[in-house]
Amino acid sequence: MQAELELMAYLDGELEGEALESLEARLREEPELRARLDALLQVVELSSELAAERVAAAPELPASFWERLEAVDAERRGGLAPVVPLASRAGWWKAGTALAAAAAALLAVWGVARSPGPVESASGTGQAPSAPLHSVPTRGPVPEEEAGAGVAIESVDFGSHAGTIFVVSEDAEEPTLVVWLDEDSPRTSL
Amino acid sequence: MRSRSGAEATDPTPGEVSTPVTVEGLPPSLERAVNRLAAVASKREQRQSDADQDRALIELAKAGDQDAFKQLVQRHQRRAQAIAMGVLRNEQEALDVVQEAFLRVYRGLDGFNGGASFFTWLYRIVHNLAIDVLRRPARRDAPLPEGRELEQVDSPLLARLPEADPLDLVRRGELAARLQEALDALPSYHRSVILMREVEGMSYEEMAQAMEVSKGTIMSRLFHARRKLQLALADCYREQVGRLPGEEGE
Repeated sequence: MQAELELMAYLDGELEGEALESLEARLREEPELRARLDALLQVVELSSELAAERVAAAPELPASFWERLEAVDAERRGGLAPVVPLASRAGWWKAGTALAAAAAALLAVWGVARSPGPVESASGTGQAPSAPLHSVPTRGPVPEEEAGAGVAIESVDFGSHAGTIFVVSEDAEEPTLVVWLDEDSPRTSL
Repeated sequence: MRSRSGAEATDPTPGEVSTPVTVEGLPPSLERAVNRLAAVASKREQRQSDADQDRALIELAKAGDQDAFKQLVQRHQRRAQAIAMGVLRNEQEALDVVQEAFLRVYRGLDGFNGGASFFTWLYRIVHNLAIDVLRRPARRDAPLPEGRELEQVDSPLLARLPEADPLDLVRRGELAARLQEALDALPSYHRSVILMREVEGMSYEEMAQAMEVSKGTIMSRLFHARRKLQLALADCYREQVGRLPGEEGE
């Protein structure tokens, strides 16, 4: 098999120096070795043509790719990414809107049941979720240590929109997850 | 479209063969081999030039020139898809993989230090993403063998094919069609190494980096893949003319 490997490396331009000279000398002298080279060369040439055809036949990336690239570009620049109108994302956004509505309702109930201390974003920006999708009794920002007991808060980034996740868990018998999506405001954190 | 660096937004076509040369006194088969080597060297030179242009575009893209990155995409998208198709054999999956790969590249641009060539970096991402798709439970492709080393195999065909050019006897189109079938029938790790080699003209070392395996594994895969293609061509040849060149005729 060594001879075949050498021939393959030769045709791929991987042989150098003495190895190359030695093989070429043998190829000049040995018709059988040349026949092996020729057989391999035939496959290599056809493979190369086939590869060229496949490249030529490859489709261009769809227009939606460039829109996704724009979104990533906005992320890289640290700005607010535009909403990409992909079907899958549109569907996800509808789900997010529904979640936000549910969040508003849950917060309203939770806010009445608990002490009047306001909740906050753990992002440290001091901004409460702004422009809620539905009317919610919002409160101003407070320091982290004043957040209500039994509430774990995480900021969340959905790529083009930011929001807050509230987990009501420690005191509650059944933990409740609240997702609040900001509709218009810049992201509060990454 | 031309970038500020002067790089053309082209997708160089593989398989281009440099002008054949005739060397006096050289056996025909060796002359063809010499021409192949000249084509390989020419392609390597072109790739070096392309790599320099890629680096210039990357620097522009890092500085915020999105058009520069678009040119990078346009330069490599078709070849990247051919590589992805080589693994996946599914156009939509290949398209998805290539898009995701370019987005990952874009996100990671700042981490690219130019030490490796752009296409090696890109094709490693494309290859890994394609392998991830292959490993999904719904896919039925055979799992990739790990660390497969060179094996001792017989290669009777190599010894049996004499110098006679079978293309004189079998129509080239039929051979090409058979080769395409054989290529599609190869395991993905054989098919992708063939395409990576022939689409991009990558060296064994570059392919080893892109596929994250040893150079020996690349050689083994390439050898076995080509041998299978050779056997398929031999079958086609026998069907067409009843025997291989050099075998006893009727």
